[in-house]
Amino acid sequence: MMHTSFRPQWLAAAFAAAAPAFSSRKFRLFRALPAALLLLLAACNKDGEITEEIPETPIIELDSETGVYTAKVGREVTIAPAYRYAEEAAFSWTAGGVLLSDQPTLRYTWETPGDVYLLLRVENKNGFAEEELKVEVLALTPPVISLVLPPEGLKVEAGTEYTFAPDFAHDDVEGFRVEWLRDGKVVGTERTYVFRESTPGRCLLTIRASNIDGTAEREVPVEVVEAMPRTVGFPALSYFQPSTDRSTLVGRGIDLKPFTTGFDRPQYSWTVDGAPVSCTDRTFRFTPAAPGSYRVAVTVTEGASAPQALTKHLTRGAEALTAKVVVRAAAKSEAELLRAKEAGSSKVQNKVYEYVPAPGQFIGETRTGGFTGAETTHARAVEWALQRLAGQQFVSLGGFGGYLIVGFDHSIVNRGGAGYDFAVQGNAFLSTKGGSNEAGIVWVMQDTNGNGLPDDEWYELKGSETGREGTLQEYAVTYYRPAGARMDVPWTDSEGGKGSIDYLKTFHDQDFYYPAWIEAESYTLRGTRLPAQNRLDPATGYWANDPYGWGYADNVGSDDLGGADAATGDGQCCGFRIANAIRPDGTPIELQYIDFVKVQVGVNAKSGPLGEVSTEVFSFRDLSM
Amino acid sequence: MKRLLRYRSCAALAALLLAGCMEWDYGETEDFTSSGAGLFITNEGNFQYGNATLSYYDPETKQVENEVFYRANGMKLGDVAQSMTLHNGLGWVVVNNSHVIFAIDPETFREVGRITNLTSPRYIHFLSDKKAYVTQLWDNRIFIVDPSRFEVTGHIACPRMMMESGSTEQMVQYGKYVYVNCWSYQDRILKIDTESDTVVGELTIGIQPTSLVLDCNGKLWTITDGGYEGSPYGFEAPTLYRIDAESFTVEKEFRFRKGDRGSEVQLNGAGDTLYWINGGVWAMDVTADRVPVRPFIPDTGTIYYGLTVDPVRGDLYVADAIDYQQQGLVYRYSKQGELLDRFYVGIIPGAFCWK
Repeated sequence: MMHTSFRPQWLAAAFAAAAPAFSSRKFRLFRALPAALLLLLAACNKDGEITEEIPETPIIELDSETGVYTAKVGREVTIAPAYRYAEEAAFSWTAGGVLLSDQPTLRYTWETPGDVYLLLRVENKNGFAEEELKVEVLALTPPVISLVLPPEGLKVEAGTEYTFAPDFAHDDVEGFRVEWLRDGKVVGTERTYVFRESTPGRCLLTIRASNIDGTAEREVPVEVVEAMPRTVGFPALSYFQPSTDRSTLVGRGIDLKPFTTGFDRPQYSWTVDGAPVSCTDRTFRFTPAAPGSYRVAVTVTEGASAPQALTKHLTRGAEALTAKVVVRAAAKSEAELLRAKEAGSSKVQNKVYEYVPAPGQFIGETRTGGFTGAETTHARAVEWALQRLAGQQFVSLGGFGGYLIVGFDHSIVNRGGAGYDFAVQGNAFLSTKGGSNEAGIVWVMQDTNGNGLPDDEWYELKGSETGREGTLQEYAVTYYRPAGARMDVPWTDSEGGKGSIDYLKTFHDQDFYYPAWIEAESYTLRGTRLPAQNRLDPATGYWANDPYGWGYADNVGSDDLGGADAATGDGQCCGFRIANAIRPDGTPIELQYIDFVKVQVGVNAKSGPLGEVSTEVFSFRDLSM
Repeated sequence: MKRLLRYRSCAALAALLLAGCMEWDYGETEDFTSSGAGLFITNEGNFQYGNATLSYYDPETKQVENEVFYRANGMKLGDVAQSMTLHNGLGWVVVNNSHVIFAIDPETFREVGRITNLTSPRYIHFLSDKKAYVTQLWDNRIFIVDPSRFEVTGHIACPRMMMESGSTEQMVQYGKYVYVNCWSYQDRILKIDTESDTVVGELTIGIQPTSLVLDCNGKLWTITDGGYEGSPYGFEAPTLYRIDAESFTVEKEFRFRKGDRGSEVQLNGAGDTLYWINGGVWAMDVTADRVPVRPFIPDTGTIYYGLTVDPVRGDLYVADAIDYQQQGLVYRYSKQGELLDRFYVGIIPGAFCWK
C-alpha cells in the first residue's frame, strides 16, 4: 500500500517528459530545497496554465507483479524494487517487526520453510511509502525414487533381462540426473536400466538421483537364481485375521483352496489327518462328520518335471511342496449358535471388526473425509469407523478390495428370500447421465465357532454380475506404499496389470492416501472384481458410473430400498437377502442366519479427475426390526 | 468417490435426477415474528438427501434460528437450497434439486406461494413485480417468470450452450441490461436486453466464472475457478476479472495460481471493497492494481463455502461447510477482521440474503 500525496496525472506526465533535462545531481539539489522555495520554484505559467509542484514522497515499484516471491530454504533471495523520489530516503525491510535490512535491495536467506510477510517502508522528509510483500520459503525438493518391488525381496532368473523403470518425483527441478550403480560401479545414467546376469548369486543395485536440492539413493538387493522358487500356502481369512485355520459346522462342507507360485503344471493330492483322500483338484471340499479339529494337507507336485537321472545310481524326483490347514467343526448345531434378538437389541451395527480400505483420496483425509489424524493404528481406525457409522456418515473403502467388517448384537435371520434381510446404506444415485454407483460386494459370515469374531467362513452374496463374463473371482491387487508424500499409490494385480491410485492434490491434499494403520510396505486385497461401468459422456464431459442390476452396496439397482431422493430425506439403501449366499463355485449355501457382514469394493477403475471408484458405506441395518 | 467432489465443485452440480418431484409432508407449524433487519442463510444440505434448510440470524441480538422454513411451514424445504432473494416484501428461496422457488413472508417464514415447473433453478433476479429471470443448471434456457402469478411465462435462449451442459448463474443489472455468468463447463458472461429478453452480447473469459457482482464504478467482477485437473473442459489458473459494464470489455485480470480455487465475489454496501474466497477470504479495494499478498481471513484448512457483507455494518460473514456432512458454521468478522461471532447453521451453508 502506498501512502503519498495526491499527484495529478498531468504533473506526472510533465515530470516524466522533462526528466532527461535533469541530471541526477540537479535533481537531488532540486529535491533538497526548502519546501516553500520548492513550491515557488516549481510554479510556472505555461500557456496560461498555472501549475504547482508538490513535494514528492517515495514511490515503490516492485519487481514482482503480484508482490509474491518464492525462495528456497538456505538459498539467498534478492528482492530489488525500483524507486522514485527515494534518493535520500530511509529504507526498512521488516518481518514481524524485526528489521531484516535497511538497504534498497533485500538479500536474505531463510532457514525454515513457510510464508513470510515483509513490510518494505521507504521514507523521506515528505512522507513514506509502504508495500507488503510475501515470500514463500519452500523446502528443498530433492528427488524421490519410487520403485515397487516384491515384498519378499527381488529374485531374478539368471540369463534373463529385467528392465528397471522407477518413478522419480521432483525430476523437474534443475540439475536432475540419474545414476545406476552395480556393486558400487556406475553402469548407467538413463532413467531406466536393463539388468541381466548369467551367474546365480547376489548383487546390490543402487539408484542415485540428484538435483540442485539434493540426492536420493535407493538400494535394491538382487538375488539371481537359476529358477524362480515355488510356494504353496493357504490364504488368511483377512488382513487382521492372519490365521489360516478354518471353522465350520458338522456336515457343512468347507472349500479349501491353496495358492501356489512357480508351478507350471501343479498336481494336487490331499490328506486328512494323514489319510489320503480321493480329491486331486485344487479345491477340496471337506465335510466334517463329527465335531473336532482336522489337519488337512495338500501336496503340490510340479507335473512338468519328470524324474531326472543324475547318475546311474541317483535320480532327481519332481519337486513337491506341502501346506497344511486346521479345520475345526463346532460341537453345537447351527440353531444352538443363533444369537436371537432381544427386546433391547439394536437394529444397526454395533461393532466394526476390521477396517482395511484400499488406498484412496478420502483415506486419512481430515478436511472432508472425516478423519481426525489420530487413526494411526487399526484399533483407532476401527473406533473411528464405528463412530462414523453410528452417525450415518460415510466411510470410504478406497479403491478395489478395500473392505469393512461389521457385526450386530444379535444374529440376522434368513427370512427365506421372501424379503430383504438387511440393508446397507450408501450414497449412490441415478441421473439421466448415469449417476454414481460404486458397487461394493457384500459378504456374510456365520459365527460357527461361537467366539464372537469374524474368523469363520465368508460367503459372497450373488448379484446381477455373478457368473457373467467379465466378472473375476479371486482377483487380487497389491498396493505399495509411496516412496514419498503426495505421490500416487502404485498397485499391481493378479492379472499382470498395474496402475495407481492417483494423488489428487487439488481436492485431497493429505500427504498419503495409503492407510496410516497399515504398517507393511505393501498389502494385498483379494475379492471379486466386477466389470467397470464408469464412462465419460462425450457430450457433456461428465463422468458417470452406471448402476449394476442388483446385489451390490452403494448401487441403485432393483434392490434399492428408496432414499436417494428429495422426497424422503433418507440416504440411499440397498436390501440384501441371506438366501443369495453362494460358495466359491457359485452354488448356494444355506445359512439360517448370519452374524457378520463385509462390504468390499468390487471395481478397479478410476474416473478421470474424480479418481478411483470407491464404495462408501453409511450404516448397516437389520430389516427384521 | 466422486459424489463429494461434485458437491465441492458445486454442491448441487448434479441436479438432474431421479427425484422427479417433491412430496411435502406437512407437520406442526411454529409462529415466528422476525421484524427488523436480519440475515437468511440457505443451507444446501446433501445432494439427494432432501435436507436443505433455511436459517435466520439477527445481527443485533446475535441469535440464530435454524430450520425456520420447516418450523414455520411444517414441511421440508427440499433438496439443495441454492439461493434466496428478497423482493417487494417477499423472500424467494430457490431450491435447486426440488425444481421449485418458494416465496415466503420474511417475518413469519411462512410460504405464500411457489413457482414450479423449473428445470434446475439457481438464482432469481427481479426486473419488476411481474417479471423475473431464473437461471438454470444443465439447461440452456433462462426462465422468465411472473412472480405475481408464480408462473413461468417464457424463456431466454442462451447461444452456444447445449441443454446437457448448460449453466447460467448469478445476475446483476446495469441499466436495461442483465449480465449473467455461465459457470459449469462454460467460460462466458452473457448480456441480456431486458426489453427484448434476448442475449445481445457475450464475453468469453476464463474457465468457469463462479459468481458476479457490480461495483460502485459500474464494473463487473467475476472470478473463475479454472476448472480442475483432468477436466475435459480444461484446467487453468483461476482469474479475477474486472469488466467494464458499459463497454462490456475486460479491463483488468488478476491471475492466481493453477490449482487455486476462486469463488464467491462479493461487495460491501458501498460497492468499493471486493471480497472473494480462494482458500482463505480476500479483500481488495475495487481500484487496486494488485491483489494483496495477505488474505483478509487466512485459510485454516476448512471449507469456506459462502460469503456476504452486511451492507450497513460492513461485517463479513463467512460460511464454513466444514466437511459437507455436519452442520456448517458461519463466522462473523468486523471489517477490520476481528471475529465477532460464530454460529451453527444447517448442512453446507452456501448463500446469504439480507433483510
